[in-house]
Amino acid sequence: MKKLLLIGMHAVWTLLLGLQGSRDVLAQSQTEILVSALEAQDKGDDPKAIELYEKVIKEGLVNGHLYYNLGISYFKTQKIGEAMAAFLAAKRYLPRDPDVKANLKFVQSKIADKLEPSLASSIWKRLSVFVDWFTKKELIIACFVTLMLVSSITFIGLVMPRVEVLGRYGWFGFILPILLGGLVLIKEFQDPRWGAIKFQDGAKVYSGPGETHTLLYTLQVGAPVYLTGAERQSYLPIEISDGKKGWVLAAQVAYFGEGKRDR
Amino acid sequence: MPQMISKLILGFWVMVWSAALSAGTLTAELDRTEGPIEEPFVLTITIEGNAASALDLPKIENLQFYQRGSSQQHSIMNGKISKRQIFTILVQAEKPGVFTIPSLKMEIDGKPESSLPLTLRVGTGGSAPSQTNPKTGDPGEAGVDDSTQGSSGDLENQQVQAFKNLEKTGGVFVIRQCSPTSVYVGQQIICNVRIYHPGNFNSGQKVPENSPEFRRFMPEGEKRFNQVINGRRFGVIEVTEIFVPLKDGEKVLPSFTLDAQVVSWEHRKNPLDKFFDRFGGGAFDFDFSFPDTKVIRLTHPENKTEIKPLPKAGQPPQFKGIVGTFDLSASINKTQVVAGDTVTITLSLSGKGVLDTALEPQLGLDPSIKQYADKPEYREKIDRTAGVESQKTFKIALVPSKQGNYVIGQVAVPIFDPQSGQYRVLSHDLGTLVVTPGQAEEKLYALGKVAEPSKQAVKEQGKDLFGPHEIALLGGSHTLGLKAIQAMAAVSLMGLASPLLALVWMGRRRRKEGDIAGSRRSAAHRHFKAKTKTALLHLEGGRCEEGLSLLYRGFKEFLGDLANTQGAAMTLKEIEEFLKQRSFPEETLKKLVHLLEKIERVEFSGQTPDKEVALRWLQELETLAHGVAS
Repeated sequence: MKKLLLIGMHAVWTLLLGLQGSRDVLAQSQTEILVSALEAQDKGDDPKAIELYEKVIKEGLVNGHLYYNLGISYFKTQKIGEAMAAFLAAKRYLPRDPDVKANLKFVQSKIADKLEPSLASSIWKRLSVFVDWFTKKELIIACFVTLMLVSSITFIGLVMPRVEVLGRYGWFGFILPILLGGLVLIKEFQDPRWGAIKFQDGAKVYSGPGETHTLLYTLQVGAPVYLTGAERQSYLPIEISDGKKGWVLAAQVAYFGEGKRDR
Repeated sequence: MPQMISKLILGFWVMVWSAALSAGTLTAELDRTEGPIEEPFVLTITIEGNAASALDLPKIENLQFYQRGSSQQHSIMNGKISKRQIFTILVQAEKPGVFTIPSLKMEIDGKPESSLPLTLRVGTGGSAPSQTNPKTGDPGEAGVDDSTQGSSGDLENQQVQAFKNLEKTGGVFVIRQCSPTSVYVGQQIICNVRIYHPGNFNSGQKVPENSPEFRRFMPEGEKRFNQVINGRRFGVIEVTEIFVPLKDGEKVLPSFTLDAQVVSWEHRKNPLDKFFDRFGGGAFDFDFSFPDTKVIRLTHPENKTEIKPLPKAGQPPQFKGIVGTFDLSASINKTQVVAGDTVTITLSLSGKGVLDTALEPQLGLDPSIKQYADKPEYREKIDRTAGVESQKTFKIALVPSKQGNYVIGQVAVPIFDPQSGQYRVLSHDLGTLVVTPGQAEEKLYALGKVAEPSKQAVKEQGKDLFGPHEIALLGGSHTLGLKAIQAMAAVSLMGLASPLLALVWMGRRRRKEGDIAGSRRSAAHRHFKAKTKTALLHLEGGRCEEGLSLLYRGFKEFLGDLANTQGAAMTLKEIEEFLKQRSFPEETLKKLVHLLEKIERVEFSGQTPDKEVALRWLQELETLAHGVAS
């Protein structure tokens, strides 16, 4: 019986070690690709760098620096729309990074349409001032930490009669994680859906999904667009910073980010 | 005196006759009675007086009437207004023969009037000699004698030649000056035609004359001025003709021929002359001069011109016969287009020369670009001095079917410039047309079925971008994985649950503590009840003092059990405080304290109360104890 128990424990241990090993191999492979991509970028072989960066992105790595580097290569290969989308993605994960801000501003100055990657709605705008300062990951962690802190304090207050006051007023502390949770939701609904027009001659925006609908306006390459919903009949519903809405051919929009396939 | 009387009588008669003369007249005259079929006759109809109806010309088979003008004169004679109308009508026979124009009838001044019938003989072409005017004796067709026609361009020479024939033409003559006299095929020749007249030129009808060797343009408007030649004053009407030769060689320009209506004043014999002569008419100096209109065919000396062929040397292969001084402008409405969309190229030739026959320039484009030429727009301005200036605009719609960069390059239009005598190639660079994939192709790119071509529209090299971030930063994930989120959610739930669990635990603990206190209270109450029973036995046995003492101690022990203290040692003050803390009703508390004081007084004073009173006290204390226990 003892032997059987030992054999079982060994098997479980081996399986766990194997899983960890395969994860390490995968991480090592990604690192090699990223090193090659950086080398290609240094040599000026930006198409190669793009290919390698996109390979890593397709494998599921979400990293703001990665999108930032990808945006540089896209810009150097004169793909302004993709560069804008990549920098917007980088800003999502590195909101306080000065390099990302500078490059995004630079690319913005090169596009024909003077549009901002933010919505015209005043509520969103006011909230986004604060929300944009943090990543979603940071907000989630902050929400988690404060929740744990407030819970612990309240628990201690309830359990220990000496610090009964903590138990009595600790409940008010739960407002903080609730607020942070709300910001996470805002971030979830607002931030990750910004893309950019990648079609060099500009994209025609229709009143509905398809060319049979009324042509509303045309967006030039690089114009930032907020994706308001899911793709329908190869068209994406969009909104731009001045409040105009419409549908644009999905193939003409560049988008990078978690949760959705890169276009 | 007798002369005076005779003149008065004569004046009276004149007045009477003038009244008679005021009756209207209708006359019809032909310029000649015979002539060839190609030369129209001129019929002049004169109406003197007020006609009741309009002139109605008869309808004669094979004879056509064309009214060419009319004039009207009013004169006042002896206080009466007389009216005179002259109609000039061209009579054209459709075939040779003898025609009779019947008597014309009209009601004039209320009386029927009629003209004499007229007969005219029309011969075959050239068979009928030019007849003398039946009225004046002047030739019907007059002009500068062929033998005297000089070479083109020499104004003075032409004027000298024309002066020789002034008598025949009623003083009217035509001179034409053309320049240049040596041109290339397609080059413009501008001719100024001057009609000189001594003031008697009424109107003119240009005889059409076409030539297969020249194109002819006539700008609108005319120039009028006066000129003195050889001491004679002439009114001059100057018109301009522009010729564009189509064939080379020594050519004579088509002539300018004019059927001019020339007015001549003639002294007619007056029917009253005899009457006036008979009565010493010298006293009445009447001038009966009447205007007469003649149609004279005028022409000018021929203008000989040397037409040179376009030189073969240096002729560009794409030359399509455009001759003139031109400029080329070209534009393209967009240089970037989606495959399948339309681009419009506009080519415009403009300048001095005739472009109406100019052909569309050829664009050497890729066969994948379809071309659709629009109908060219042509504008022409004919100026008296500058000649013909024209503009021809070609619009060509291009529809590229495939993506790519297409060099349109130079659009070239070769022309021959007659000013320099050389060929020139007008050109304009239209650059490159960048064709991006259409939506169908774009979808293929999106699906990865077709490799997206690299684009070159943006020239930025990213010099102002900040550089890439280092490898150490690229590794970690900036997002939370599902497992991490699940773990955090689980921990969060636990964290959130912990104070709640603590709350539950606290509640249970307090309830438990409450239960202990309650059981203690019940036990104390039970103990008190037992003592009460014993006290009751004492009281019923007549041992009131013992019974009340037992009841008093039992109650204090009961309170001591509740307060977790030694009840026997509790004073009344302490009992009162304890029960106040337990929120015991104040009224009941007063009753209790008062009762306890009475029992205590019995115990310490030795005054034994009645059995009845003692039993009532016991009952009251038992009730109050029950209240404290609950």
